[in-house]
Amino acid sequence: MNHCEDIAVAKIAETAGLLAGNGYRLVQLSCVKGGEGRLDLIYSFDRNYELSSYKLSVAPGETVASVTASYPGAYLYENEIGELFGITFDGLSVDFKGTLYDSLVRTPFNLPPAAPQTVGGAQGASNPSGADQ
Amino acid sequence: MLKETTIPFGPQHPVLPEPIHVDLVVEDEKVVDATPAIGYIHRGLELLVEKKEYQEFVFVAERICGICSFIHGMGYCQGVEELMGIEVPERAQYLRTLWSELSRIHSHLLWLGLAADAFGFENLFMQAWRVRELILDIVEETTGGRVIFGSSKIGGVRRDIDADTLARIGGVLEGLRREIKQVTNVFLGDSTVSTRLRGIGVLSKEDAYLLGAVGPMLRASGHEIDTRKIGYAAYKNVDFDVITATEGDSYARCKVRIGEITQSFDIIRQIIDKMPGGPVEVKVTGSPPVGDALVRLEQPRGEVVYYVKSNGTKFLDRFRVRTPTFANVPSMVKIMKGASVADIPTIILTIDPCISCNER
Repeated sequence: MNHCEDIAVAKIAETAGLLAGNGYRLVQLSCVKGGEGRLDLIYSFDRNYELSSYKLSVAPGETVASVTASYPGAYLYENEIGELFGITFDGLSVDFKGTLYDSLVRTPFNLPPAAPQTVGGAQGASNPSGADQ
Repeated sequence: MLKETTIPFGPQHPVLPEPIHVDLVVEDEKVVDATPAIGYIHRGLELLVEKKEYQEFVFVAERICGICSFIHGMGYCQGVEELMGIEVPERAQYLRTLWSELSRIHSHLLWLGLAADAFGFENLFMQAWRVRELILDIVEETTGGRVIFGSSKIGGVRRDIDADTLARIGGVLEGLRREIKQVTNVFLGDSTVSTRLRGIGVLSKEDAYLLGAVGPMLRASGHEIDTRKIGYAAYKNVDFDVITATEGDSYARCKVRIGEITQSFDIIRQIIDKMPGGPVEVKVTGSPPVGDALVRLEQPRGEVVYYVKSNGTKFLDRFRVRTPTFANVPSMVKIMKGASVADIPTIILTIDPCISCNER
């Protein structure tokens, strides 16, 4: 990806503040699975049609600082990513507390690996009471 | 102290063209807070990119939405072409631009009709959609489809338009320009329309920028930002001004869209006059290399961002769309606060939401 810089997770709030001060607008914030269980956050900013993107690699369970102090509209992206991928954003200005997508399955875009099937496991699941059919 | 009540607006509502859901917290007739809920028509289209070969996925991308169909397909193709370093023939770039602008005209006319319907001006609704049908006839003649164009492919376009047809389209569009002007003059000049739209849902210039608004929502608040100015496809070869307004209210957003309809006619005129010869596609083989790409286009509703990530196989790893409606939701919530409940349908419609795109 053109003009994409890797930055540390701890630097995002400061970077966002600097960019906002220099007149950049937030274009998008996306999350994609990285390697080894990590998640990549890609922030893109624009000024005068020049796009600058920053990529953070977030470890499982790691908290990311919210950029809503600099970009108030970012709360929607951060709530979405929180619900779909399970990343916690610290300092969210508006927290929907899991009701934005209201999904039956938690973090549907970042599901844990499927549990290995055991012999008779399927039968047990369809006949939980153990009663004979 | 006034009593607060929560009213669910949508997902089914007589005025809504698509199922948007917002919980409105109201005190008497005033909205004090609004909470959006997304996902009612989520179809899992992004995940399908892992199951469909990258060349096949264009058909899925085009079906994200019926109004924004062509530009979704084009954006996906541009993302993959950037990843693979494919140079699309110039004629194909011009054809993509032509269909993008036809898409913009029909989308804005659709919206015009829906907005008129929302405040009860049924005749204006009918006239706007009648003229829109004439645009869709051109789309159907050139692509074979009214709604899903099906003309985008990785490496170019699937169909060409011969010189005679292009010349005839130019003539038809000039005639349509006069008809559309009759409709839009009513929209801009009628006192009943003006009363329902002026001063309603004002979004300040500062808020529009900070809340990440895009498209007519942003331009109606005074920002001269149009993603077509990046110069993708053939936009680098056409001259056009960015249509803006300053009032930031619902009327200003209407004015911007109406101005863009006229502007699209001018762009199409330039495209037809400058259309180069040559092939309309290049052969694409193999799989995209490992890597990712991010492209931006201008949908009728605003800037749309496509992110594609490849793992080196013929099935992409990730396809993500940041739709303009998603970017405009924080602004919509902002302008709802303090508005009257009776004005909520108008406010929602003036952001021109496309829920199919937003919740794909």
